[in-house]
Amino acid sequence: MAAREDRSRTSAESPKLYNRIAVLRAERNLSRQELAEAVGVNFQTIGYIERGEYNPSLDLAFRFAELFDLPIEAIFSRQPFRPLSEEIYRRPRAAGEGPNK
Amino acid sequence: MTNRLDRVSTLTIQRVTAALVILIVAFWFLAGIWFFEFSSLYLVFIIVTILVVRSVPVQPGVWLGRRPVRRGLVGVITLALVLGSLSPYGPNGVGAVPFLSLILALCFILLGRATKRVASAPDAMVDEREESLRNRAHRIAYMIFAALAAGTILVAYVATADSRAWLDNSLKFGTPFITFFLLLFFLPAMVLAWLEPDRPSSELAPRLPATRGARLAMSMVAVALLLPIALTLALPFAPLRTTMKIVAEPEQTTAAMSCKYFEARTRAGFGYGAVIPISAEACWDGHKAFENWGLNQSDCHSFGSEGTIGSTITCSRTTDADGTLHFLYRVRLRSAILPFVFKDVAMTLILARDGRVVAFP
Repeated sequence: MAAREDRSRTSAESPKLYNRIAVLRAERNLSRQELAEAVGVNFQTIGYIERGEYNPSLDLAFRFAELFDLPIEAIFSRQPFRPLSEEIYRRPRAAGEGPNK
Repeated sequence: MTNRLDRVSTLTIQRVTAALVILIVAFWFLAGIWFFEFSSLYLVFIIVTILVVRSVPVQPGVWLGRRPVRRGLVGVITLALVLGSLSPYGPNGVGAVPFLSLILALCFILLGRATKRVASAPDAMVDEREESLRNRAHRIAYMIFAALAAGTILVAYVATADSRAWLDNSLKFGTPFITFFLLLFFLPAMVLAWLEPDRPSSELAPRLPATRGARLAMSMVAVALLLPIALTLALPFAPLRTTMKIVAEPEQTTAAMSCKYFEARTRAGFGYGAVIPISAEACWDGHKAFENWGLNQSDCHSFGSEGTIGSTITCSRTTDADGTLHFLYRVRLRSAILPFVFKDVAMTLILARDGRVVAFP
């Protein structure tokens, strides 16, 4: 079942890419329109990318990376992202180095 | 090499579209629509309207952006194209074709708005997702078009003698081929409208400001919509315009009988109507008047019918006891757009046995 989900196809007929665009956009308090203008696409395309219904080109992925000042793999992944809160808090706690300890 | 690439890049979608528009108009005129003055002008007006509408930027908005609405539009267009293909079209009239043209023009305008005209947009006007969507729509449209064209020709050719006759008639008068030309234009947009998923309400675009171009486009659409309806409603009230001539026929005249040539044309309606003709030769010999030619069942017909469909009510030729010739042709011109609107037109020739013209036309 998981394999089937991983192989689910987007409208561009390529394997689904997971991304953190929505989270990064919210963090920076950007509307879809503002983000779209910043990377040079239609604002509806941002919605498609956020929902995983469209995989951006490598060029567009680099534009996102440059805008958010992050490596591409921090924004896009073949595997589903873990929630940021989990990445920040739970991983260190599991390793015994968490800030709550 | 660079020059060759430059030449290739000048073949933009707009230029190819413009060339196809010219080709279609030329095809219609060659197919005989030049004969139908109003329909020709109306067709040109529709094309100009579409060009003006296309020059105005659009956003689909809440209603048109919905997938069921877009699919409904595709359904209406398909139905109108099928009806257009089956509609009578030829030298005697164009029946409902002008009305179907209007429906199609409006649907195409709405379809363009619903899909943001992505299907025919140049590369510079679309982003990479829209470009891939456009290319996918064109690929699917090509397959559908090829299957439709080849399938129609093959099936019509091998199915029955009637279907072969339909194919021959199509080649002669062209409505199915006009349908295929229109599909060539609009199938990618229809495919795109069918495929695009519903957008979440949070992604609906803000309303665009009403520019002068947008107001002009809306006015032209309103005129395109209202003109046929206004002309149709005027059909019963428009005065009949008749031209006639009666010419003596000395070649046919002998000591025993004389003949006259009668010609009349009555035009009903403005724009949407028809011409009802009489062209005949009648003679008299002192005992009775009689038809020489042109007053038979086969002579009861209308022509130049635009937006109307003519049906014969009466077509009779009698000679009464005192030798007077009576010819009556009554036709009902019913609107192809609003079928409850009609106009009855009568053409009469009453010729006494002494050659006196009692009534004409």
